[in-house]
Amino acid sequence: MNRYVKLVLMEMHRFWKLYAALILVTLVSQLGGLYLTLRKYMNGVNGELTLNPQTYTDYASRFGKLPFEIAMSRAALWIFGPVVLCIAALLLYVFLIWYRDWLGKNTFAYRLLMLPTARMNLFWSKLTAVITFVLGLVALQIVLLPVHLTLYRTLIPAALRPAESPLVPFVRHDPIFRTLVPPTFLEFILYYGAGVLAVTIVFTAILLERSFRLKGLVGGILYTVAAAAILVSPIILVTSGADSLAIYPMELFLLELGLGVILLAVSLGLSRYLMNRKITV
Amino acid sequence: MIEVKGISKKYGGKSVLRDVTFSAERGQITCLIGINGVGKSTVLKAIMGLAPLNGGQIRIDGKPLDKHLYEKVAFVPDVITMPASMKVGECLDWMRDFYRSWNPERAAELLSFFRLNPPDRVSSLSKGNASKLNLLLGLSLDTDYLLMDEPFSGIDIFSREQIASVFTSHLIEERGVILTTHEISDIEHLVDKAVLLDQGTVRMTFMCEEVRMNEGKSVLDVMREVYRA
Amino acid sequence: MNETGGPIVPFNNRDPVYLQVVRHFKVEIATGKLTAGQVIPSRRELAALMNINPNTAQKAYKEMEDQLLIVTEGNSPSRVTTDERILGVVREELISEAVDAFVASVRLIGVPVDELLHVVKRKYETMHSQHKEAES
Repeated sequence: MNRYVKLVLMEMHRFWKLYAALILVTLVSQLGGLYLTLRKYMNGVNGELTLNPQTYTDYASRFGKLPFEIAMSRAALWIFGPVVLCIAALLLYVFLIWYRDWLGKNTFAYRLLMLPTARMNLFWSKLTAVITFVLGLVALQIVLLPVHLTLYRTLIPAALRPAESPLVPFVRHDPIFRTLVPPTFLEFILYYGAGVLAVTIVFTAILLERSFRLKGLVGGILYTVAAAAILVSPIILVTSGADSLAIYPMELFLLELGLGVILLAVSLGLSRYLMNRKITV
Repeated sequence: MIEVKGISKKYGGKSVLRDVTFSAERGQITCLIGINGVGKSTVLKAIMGLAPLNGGQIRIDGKPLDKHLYEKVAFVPDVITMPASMKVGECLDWMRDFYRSWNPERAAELLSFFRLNPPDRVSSLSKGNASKLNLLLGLSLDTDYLLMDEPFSGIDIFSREQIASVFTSHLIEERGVILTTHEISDIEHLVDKAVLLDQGTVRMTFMCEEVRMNEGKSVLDVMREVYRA
Repeated sequence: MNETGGPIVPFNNRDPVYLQVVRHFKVEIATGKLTAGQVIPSRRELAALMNINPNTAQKAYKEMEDQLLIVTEGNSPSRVTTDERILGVVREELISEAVDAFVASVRLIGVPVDELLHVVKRKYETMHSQHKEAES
């Protein structure tokens, strides 16, 4: 097994407890929250039916049915709370994965930088760990959605459900899920490519700080801001509607792709230089 | 041979090393002695590529540092280098995983000599035991050179004696050892070559036995003359 | 590595360590603790025993070999020489060294030789008997 793979496994091993906690919170919150929300709805329905004995069909014709997306939006805090928590935790992890090795009483950075392997393997392993954890949580969401749907179908009588069970439309229309699980491969590449690029840029900024401390911190922030400005400026220029800049969406996409690839290359080159020549314990 | 040629280093405009030159041969214990300042540790870090230099160069057996040399030069810093959550035994496994030059028999020998317990967490180790673990990780690599930063500082007397006995054993035989200290008196008779650092410069380099032979002076005597001048 | 801590020979820091080791062996030979042909500790054992670094032990052995005090044949352990002439010289050398140092310091006081010998004799006898008592 080569050292890069070993490093990836080590990074995963070091984060798995927190990661397991995130998964657990997500499971409990989403399933529990949806369950409670649906039970509350059914209690309301059954209460109404006790006062006015009727069938579920009559109830549905008077008050309407409960579509899946409405059920999900009623449980929004339970469903999206953990998603936001996971995103926040992983954002924090992008910094933690580096600073944990430098700060505190134990300076693991000494050992890592003295490994008989290319130092960029440390960079790649940390990047791989972050990406894997992100994809893992997305996969969890994808697996959980049918579970939610099953829960919905189990608890809500057929008479109160719209005929079609619209899982795909839900994913299409919900802004968070639409980003997490893009409908087209192109969008997948776009979103996740942007994500990898963003993490790489932040890693580069962290390495600047670790190499030059205070000056590096300033440089790192400037680098991040500059990179973001470069990436966002074409979009702003196009949407601002200046006629001279009217370009087709595909052209904008290709422009962004080109800028992204250049920024990725610059960040990786700079990171390699810093890792090999400038980093300090 | 490790050759340090005219290296200089600045931290935020302040010069901590100025034109430092010395060499350390295999089969000798070279001691960087300095009563104050951070220069000594910086020299060791620079040799290991952990602190970029502002000038000068370092050669190990004639070559600049690259990743393969980490199998030939081991560094024992004065901070704990393993994550707090790891167990002592896991640290050893980890080293074996990453270094070809790891010598498991020697690690086992040192583990029992230092009386370290594999199930103990790194976070639970006393200062003395943490130093011993550090030393174990460095000594168990079959390297030609071994660098140690203040191996005797801040630990109890019995740990000191145990660690000192490493210097009188086969563990350092035929290796080139560079160690730093601000307190020479306890280990004077162990050292082959002394490099006196002061205010970031080398004030004097000498072979201890030659100075005793030719001038009848101890290392401490020479230090007194140099630092008072 | 040895667990006993302090060195068995108190070294001074102003004489070369390897010569102090050589001297230690000479004393052992002169006092009969080491006899002709006796096997002596290996370099490693000596380093651990005396808390010196292995290079210094090596150097001391080389010096003793050069002075023909010990002999090493092939891979077998080093032994004290069986050459009685050399062993005799060691004793003389130690005595003359000690007396030289003594004379050099006592000369400064300017004591007549007869008085000095008398004092030496008396001191030597008291110390000898005290030493005997302490041992019994």
